Amino acid sequence: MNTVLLLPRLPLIHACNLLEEFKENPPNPVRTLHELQNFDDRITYAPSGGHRSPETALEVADNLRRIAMGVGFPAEKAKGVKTYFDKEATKFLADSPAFKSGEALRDDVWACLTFIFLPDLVSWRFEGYPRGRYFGGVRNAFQRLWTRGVVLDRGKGSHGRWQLVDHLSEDAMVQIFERSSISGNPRLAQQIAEAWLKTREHVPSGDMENVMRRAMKIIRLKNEVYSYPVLSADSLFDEFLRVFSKVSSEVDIKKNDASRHAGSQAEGEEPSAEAGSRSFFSRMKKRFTGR
Amino acid sequence: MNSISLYSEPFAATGNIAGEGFRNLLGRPSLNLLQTVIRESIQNSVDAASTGKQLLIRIRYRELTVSQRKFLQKTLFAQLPLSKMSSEHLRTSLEKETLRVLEICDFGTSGLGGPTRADLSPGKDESPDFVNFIRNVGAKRDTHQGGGTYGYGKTSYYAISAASTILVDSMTARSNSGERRFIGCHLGEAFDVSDECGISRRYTGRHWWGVLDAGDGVEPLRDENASAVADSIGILPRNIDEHGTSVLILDPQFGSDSVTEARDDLIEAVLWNFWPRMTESTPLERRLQVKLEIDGENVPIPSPEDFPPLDLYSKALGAIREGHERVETIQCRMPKKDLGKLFIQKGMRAERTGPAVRPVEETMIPRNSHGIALMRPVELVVKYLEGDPFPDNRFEWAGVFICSSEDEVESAFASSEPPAHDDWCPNNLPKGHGKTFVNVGLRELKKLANSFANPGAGIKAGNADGTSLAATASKIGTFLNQSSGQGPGKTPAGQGGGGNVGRPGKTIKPYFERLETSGSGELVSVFKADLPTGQADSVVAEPFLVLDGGKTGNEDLPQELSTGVHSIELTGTARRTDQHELRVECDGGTLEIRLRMPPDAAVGLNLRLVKGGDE
Amino acid sequence: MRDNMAFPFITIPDELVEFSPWMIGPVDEPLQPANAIFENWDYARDIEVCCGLNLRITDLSDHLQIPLHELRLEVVGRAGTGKGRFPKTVFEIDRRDINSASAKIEIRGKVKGSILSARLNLECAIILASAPGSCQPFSPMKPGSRLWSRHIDILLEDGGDSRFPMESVSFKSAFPGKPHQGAPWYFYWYHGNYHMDFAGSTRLYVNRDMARMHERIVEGDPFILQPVVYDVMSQILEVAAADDLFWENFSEYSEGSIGAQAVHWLGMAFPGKSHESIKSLLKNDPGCFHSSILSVAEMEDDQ
Repeated sequence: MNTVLLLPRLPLIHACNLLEEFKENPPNPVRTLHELQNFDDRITYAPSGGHRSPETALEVADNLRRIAMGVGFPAEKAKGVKTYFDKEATKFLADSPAFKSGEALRDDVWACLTFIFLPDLVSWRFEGYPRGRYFGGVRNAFQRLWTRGVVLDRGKGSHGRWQLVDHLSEDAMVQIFERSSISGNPRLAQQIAEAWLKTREHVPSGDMENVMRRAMKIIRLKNEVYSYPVLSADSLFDEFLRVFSKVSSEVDIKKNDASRHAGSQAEGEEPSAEAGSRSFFSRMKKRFTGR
Repeated sequence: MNSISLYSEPFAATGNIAGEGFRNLLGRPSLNLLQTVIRESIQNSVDAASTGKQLLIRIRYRELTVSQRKFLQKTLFAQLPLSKMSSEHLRTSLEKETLRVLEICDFGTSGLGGPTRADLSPGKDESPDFVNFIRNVGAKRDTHQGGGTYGYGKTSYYAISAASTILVDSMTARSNSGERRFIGCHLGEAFDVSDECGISRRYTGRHWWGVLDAGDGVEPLRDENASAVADSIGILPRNIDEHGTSVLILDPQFGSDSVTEARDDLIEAVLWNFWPRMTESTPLERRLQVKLEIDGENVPIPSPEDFPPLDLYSKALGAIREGHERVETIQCRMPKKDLGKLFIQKGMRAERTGPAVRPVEETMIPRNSHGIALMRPVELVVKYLEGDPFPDNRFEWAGVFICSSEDEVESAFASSEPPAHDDWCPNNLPKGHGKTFVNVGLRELKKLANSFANPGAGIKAGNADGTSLAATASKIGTFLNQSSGQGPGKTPAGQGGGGNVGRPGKTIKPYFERLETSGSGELVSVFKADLPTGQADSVVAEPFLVLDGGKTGNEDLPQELSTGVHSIELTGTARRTDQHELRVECDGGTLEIRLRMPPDAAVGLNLRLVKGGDE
Repeated sequence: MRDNMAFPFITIPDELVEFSPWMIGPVDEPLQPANAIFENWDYARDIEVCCGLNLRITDLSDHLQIPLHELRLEVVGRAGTGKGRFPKTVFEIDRRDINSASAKIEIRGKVKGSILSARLNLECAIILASAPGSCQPFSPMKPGSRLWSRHIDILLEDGGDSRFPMESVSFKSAFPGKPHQGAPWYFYWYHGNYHMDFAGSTRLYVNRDMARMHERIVEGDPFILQPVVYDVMSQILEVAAADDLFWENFSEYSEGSIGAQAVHWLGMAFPGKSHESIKSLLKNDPGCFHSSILSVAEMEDDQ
């Protein structure tokens, strides 16, 4: 078994103090092992179980910085550029050997990356020192990208390996990845993303946020009574596509209703929405799977 | 051949110990009788072993031939004791359709030498073994750090014999009389006999068959006479150099009549008690060789290493012998003294083999080992001190404790042993250091035996600064981290909970009762709750959908996935509503709340009690 | 124990499942009954877990009202790891069919230490493996239906900070020159996002420099813990109650989030009170607001 590379960790208490300091003096990223010594009193490591490797953290930081510079960091501030950085960084992080261990699941490891090694990059990506982007957690500037990457990766050598990463909207990402009940179950989360991508082909992009929000609520409700994570990827895809198609029909109906000046729909007509969603579902499934 | 005569021991004017008293001296051994016999005999052999010679024990369980039995009936036991009970026992055995004997022979020991009469002192370099074994009761055996304090345990031979009779054949070493000796012994109850003058005389119940001496006793048959008798009964022949003793137990009573079971019991008794002298790590000069023969067939005895759980015990003993770094020294602090060495070996529980595969109630070998074998430096198992087993029954453990060979310590442990040498009883010792040593030793060993398999009992981890906030952290955590239901299934006690939701007069806790179909065909869930009298003017039902273990409302959901109140009623009354609030006006009783059930979601319910000016 | 929620189909009650609780230990070592903390773990230590179920498929068939020959059930063991309200990643460790021949089922799995982090959340669940051909109205019908489950959350003690967010530190060295340097404790919490995981975004620092107070907190003295707990609760409630954003999402907070904790505590401290009346209490009678919280912060002495 390969030895786990133990990455530097920044305990919460020091993170709080550092954020205060950032607001007074712009952050100075650590670029070398020598500079890292300034944080010796604040940085910790797992006491045992692997090999301490601050150089791995430095290397990851260097690579992320290089990706950012490739898109125009620090001068370029356009939103699209930052989104592009996110996608490229996601692919890099998902593949990085540094994060193949339990270290990647630790908030303090990511906090160390944002606070110590890449505070300048974080403040470029998210202006105004938003705490959540620095602290470890689902919103951490890089931790969230890593999670997205490992879940949405269709696998090395597979067709359109990063298609989900490239095409999912930020809203869809947030809906999936800020719900740890969903994002912790890779197969489940990936199939929601697949279903989202398929649905987007037929639903106006203006409606997708609404559809996604409603669909996610239904999926999470159902996940209480059905153990989704134990089902196969295929059955999950079918199931979620069914949810998305139903929700999008409803959103569609509501929109139509609104345009027809609400209230003309009688209760008895409900089943037609059901039937409509079924045909929509089979249409989409056929296109996607060829079945 | 000299004629063989019976001698029944009369009470001396000064008193003797009577036969039954002799039996009682054995105490109440914690082992079964066969084990005691095997332990007693092999222990004695170990003590009598000649230095430099490897000790061989041969155990034979056999049926007497017609001629052998005839010899017993007509020649050896031509005279039966006058005691009615004794003679009846003997006769019953001798007339059995199948008469079996258990013969335990040792080779490489000094034999039962020394004087043959108790009133003669042994010569220089002579050991009074014959007298001690045959005649004296409970005399101390003078073997430095020997296995037994020789004596009372031998009554087990008589106890296991249905005829209370044994035959003893010994070839003594030249240095210790140098002759072959044979004698028969019976241990019965005290009895009275009137002589021809009508004077009643009282006898102890001990009887011997041998050669009457000048007037007041009996001597063993010697040399050719002795070997002729031994041959007639089929006792293992010995030539003049094959020193040692054969004890033949007449008509031994095992747990059952099955020869197979007797064989299995014998194998187990030998291994379970003497494995420390049979393992590969035992130095050759100390190694015990045991051969078992059942009805003329040799029955191999597995080596301890191949007989789980003795494989683990053997490893533990080996570790002590080689001074493994994990060997623990058990110490007494006041007075300061090293009491002995302990090593515990754990391992995967190996499948039992041979006799140990028998049903649990038939074998003495535990299915899951979790004990420490207690022994003195002589390395004979005194007993197994049981500790806690591993909760994971794929594993087992075995420990060995050998008390220190320092005289003060060794003698303390030895003296605490009851006659069967099967326990350490500090109460057998007078007050003093010795008693403290045994007490402390046992206390420490018990502690270790109970904690070995469950080392994690009690939270101990600390913070970086060494103080543990674990207990406080869990206390606050339990209090603060309320957890609502987890669907079908629940978190173990102690995790979550702790809310005050159930306080009377504020909210009450409903519980899910069943699903049903309403009159209009809707799926509904029925919740119930006990409403205390006088607590509320009305009850408000707040159904919710369960999402990620928490609560959510109907927002953003299609109609068929939403929930709501179907009805609330106070059973046995007319109070009923299909709204979310039911007026109860301080009534109490059982509330039945029906909720609309979506087909694909779980539903929970809060019940709020409203009183007076609330809301 | 009575269930506090309804499923839309019949589930399996505990009485029909004899459960041998989870055991845990390093691989190739004897397993111990799992409890809240697994000591001395690190990445190099692979872990083995197991639990057992003893049940009769005929009983389950009767109870679920699904004919025996159409009932296909599976027991699935899953493990999750990573700190937070939900494990950061969950994976399957074992899966067994329940058929008539196997009344005793063991779920056993080995987990590589290198992929674990801070906690191990174990779940054993019985699920419907395939749709039965025929059944009664309330029988479970869809594959994946959760019929019974048990779970346990185990902290993997790695000598790091995997415990409940509480830590004893010297304030002199941790907060030099800060105004709270002389405080007996300091409750840090990340405010502004009520959806954040409570355990992950709060921390109670106990001042080691104040020896007597520190000692009593370590001992778990309920008289000291009451103000500590009160402080934790009131800091969050005071901010939340005055924040419209908090009230807007009142019914949306996931369990374990700061918001869900606040909602729960409000229920404890102000049972039956409307949102408006709580807000107005804080504004008009802050003393009563705080004392109400103090009164429910009382911890029972379990000694």
